[in-house]
Amino acid sequence: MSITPETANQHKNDPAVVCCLTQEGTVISPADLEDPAIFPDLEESGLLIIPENVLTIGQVLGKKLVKTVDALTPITPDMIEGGIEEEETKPEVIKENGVAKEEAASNAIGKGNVIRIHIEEGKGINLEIPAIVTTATATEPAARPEEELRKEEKIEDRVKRTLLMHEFDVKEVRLGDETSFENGILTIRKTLAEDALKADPLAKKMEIDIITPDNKNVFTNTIMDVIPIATKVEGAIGEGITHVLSGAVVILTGVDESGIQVHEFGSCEGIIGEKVRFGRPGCPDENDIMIRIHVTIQAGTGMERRGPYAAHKVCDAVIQEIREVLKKKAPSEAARVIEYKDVERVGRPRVVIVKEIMGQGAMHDNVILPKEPAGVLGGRPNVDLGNIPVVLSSNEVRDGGIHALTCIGPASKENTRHYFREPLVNLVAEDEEVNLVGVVFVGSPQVNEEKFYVSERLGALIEAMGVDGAIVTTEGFGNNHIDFASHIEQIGKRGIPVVGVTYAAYQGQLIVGNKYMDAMVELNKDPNGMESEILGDNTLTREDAERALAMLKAKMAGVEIKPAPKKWDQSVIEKNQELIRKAKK
Amino acid sequence: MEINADVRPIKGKIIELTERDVKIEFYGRMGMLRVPLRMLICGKRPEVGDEVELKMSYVILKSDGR
Repeated sequence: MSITPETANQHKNDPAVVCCLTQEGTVISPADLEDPAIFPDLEESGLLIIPENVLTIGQVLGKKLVKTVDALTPITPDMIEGGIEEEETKPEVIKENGVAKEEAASNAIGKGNVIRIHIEEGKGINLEIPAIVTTATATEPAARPEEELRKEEKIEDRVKRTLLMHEFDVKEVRLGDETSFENGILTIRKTLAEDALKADPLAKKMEIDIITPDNKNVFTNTIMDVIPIATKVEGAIGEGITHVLSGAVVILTGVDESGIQVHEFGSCEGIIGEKVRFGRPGCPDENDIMIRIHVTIQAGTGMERRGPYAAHKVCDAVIQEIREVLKKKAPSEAARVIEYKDVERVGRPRVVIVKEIMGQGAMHDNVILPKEPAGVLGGRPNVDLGNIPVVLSSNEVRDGGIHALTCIGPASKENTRHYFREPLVNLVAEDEEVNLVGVVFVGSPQVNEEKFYVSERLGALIEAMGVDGAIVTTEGFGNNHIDFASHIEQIGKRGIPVVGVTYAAYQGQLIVGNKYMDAMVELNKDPNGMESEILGDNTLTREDAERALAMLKAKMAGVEIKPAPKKWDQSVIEKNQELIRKAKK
Repeated sequence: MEINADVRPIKGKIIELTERDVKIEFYGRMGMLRVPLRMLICGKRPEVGDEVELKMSYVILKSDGR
C-alpha cells in the first residue's frame, strides 16, 4: 500500500521500505513507499527485516533506484543513485507508553546549531532554551550566553498567596484517656472509637490501633486511604497557616459487616510490610508511625457510594479531635516551617496541570476543598459536581484540598496523602522556567457521553486560561483512559503542547488514542507491567514528574518526540530517566 | 501439547448492577464475570439485562498457586 505525501512528511525520519515491486530507474515518490505505521506488525510476522543501514523516507524521496527491488524491501544506500551523504539527525524525544521519552534528544545536543532551531520554533519562550539543553544532556557551551542573558533580564515574580506549614514531629503515638499532643507524644482518646461512629449511622464499628515502623509484620484489611493529620490555624485552604504532624499518618481500612473488604476490587489486604510501597507520595514513609483506623460498615453498602463515604466520615471525626489539639500548639514548637507560594512567574510560559480523578461512583470519588486540610466535611464530591473541571491553585492542592475516596486498584490509586505531597504539582510550582497557573481536577464519569461532555468543558476552560502548555495525568486504568485521551485531544487541537501521564504498561495499555498523544509518560514500576497489588507502587513519583516536565518543555520548544515502541518497554522509561539524571549533574 | 486457545468474542448480559460493579452472565450458562464499573465501557448508563461483549480464550491452569 502506498502512502500520501502528507504521511511521507510525517514519517520522514522513519525507514524507507518499498511497498511493491519497484523497477530500476524509478524516481522514488511517496506512492512507492509502505506506511511505517504497519512495520511493527510486518516485523513481528517476519515479513520485514529492517537492516541498520536503512535510509529514511526523507533521504530517499526524489532519488533514483539503481536496481529493481521486490515489494517490502528496505532501501539501503547501495540501491540509490549516487548513494547518500550523511545528514544531520534531529533532536528527538521518545514517548513511553504510547508514552514519550526523551532518549534521542542526546543525538541532537552534540550539534551546536540545535539551539538556534529551538529558539526559532519556540518563539516567545526563549527562556525555555537553557532548560532543554539542561534536560536533554550534559553541559552545552552554546547555552551559557543564553543563561547570562536571562539573569540580566530578570523579571520580578508576583506572589499571589503564601502558605506556611508548621511541621510537628511525632515520636510516639499512644491510646489513652484523653487526646493530647505533648513533647512529641500523641495520645488518642480510646473512647473516640465509639464516639466517632456518630458521624455516620452506616458505620457500625471502629477499632484504632498503632503500627510502629519496626513492626510491619501485621495483617491489615484493605487500605482505603492514607491521610495526613493537618489543620488550619489561620486562613482558608491554600493560604495562611497550617499545622501538620510529621512522622505519623492515618491509615483507613475497612470491611462490611459480612466481612467483605470495602474495596473488594483492587483490595490490598495482607501483611502491611508487603502490601505497601513505603515512601511513595501517597503512602506512609518507611519510618512513619501508622495510626490504623479500621471501620466496619453496614453489610452490602461497600458497593454503594454511601458506604465508603461513611467510613471516610467517621475516620475524619477521629482526626478532627487530633486537629483540635494540634491547632493549639505554639508555632515555636514546630520542628520545621515550610513556605509554599503561589507565584505568577511573569513572562514565563503559562502551564496548567490537569488531574483526571475518578468519578464513576462508590469509592471512585473525591471530596474537593474540605474545610480542614485532607478532611471530609465541607468539601464537595466530584461526582455530585457532575465531574465538571474544578480549578485549584497549587497551594490549595498542597494544603490538602483533595480528599480521595481512592479508586482501584491499589498500585495505581492516588490516596489523600498523594495529593498532599503531589510531586508534579510541587515540581512545576517550584520550577522557575514555567508559570504554573493552576491545577484542574476533572472527574471521570461512567458513560462515554458524559465523559465527552466533561472533556469538552475542560477544553473550553483550558482555552480560556490561555496556557502555553499542559500536563494531563490520570490515576489507574480502565474506561478513564477514554476521557484521558479525549482531554489530551481537546487541549492538543487548540494548538497547546500537551503531555499525558498515566500508568498503562502491560495490564493497563491504552485502548484509545489520537494524534495529539505523542508525548506520554509511563508511571509503571512493576517489572511485569502489572497492577502489582502493592499500595502506591505505580503512582506518580518525583522522577516521573521530572520526565513529564522535561517532556513538556521539549514539546513547547518544538523538539520532536520519537514515537513509542508498539509494546510497552520499560527500558524506554529508564533511558529517559537517565537523560534527566545526566542533565541534573 | 500445543493448545490453540485463541481469543474469541463472547457475549453475555448484565445480571447485577451496583454503584461499584457489574455482574455478567455469559450466554449458554457458561459462567459469570464480575468487574468494577471502570472496566466496563459504555455509551449509555448500564442496566440489568443489557447485552455485553468481550474477547476471551479458554482458561488455562498455569501453576498450583503455591
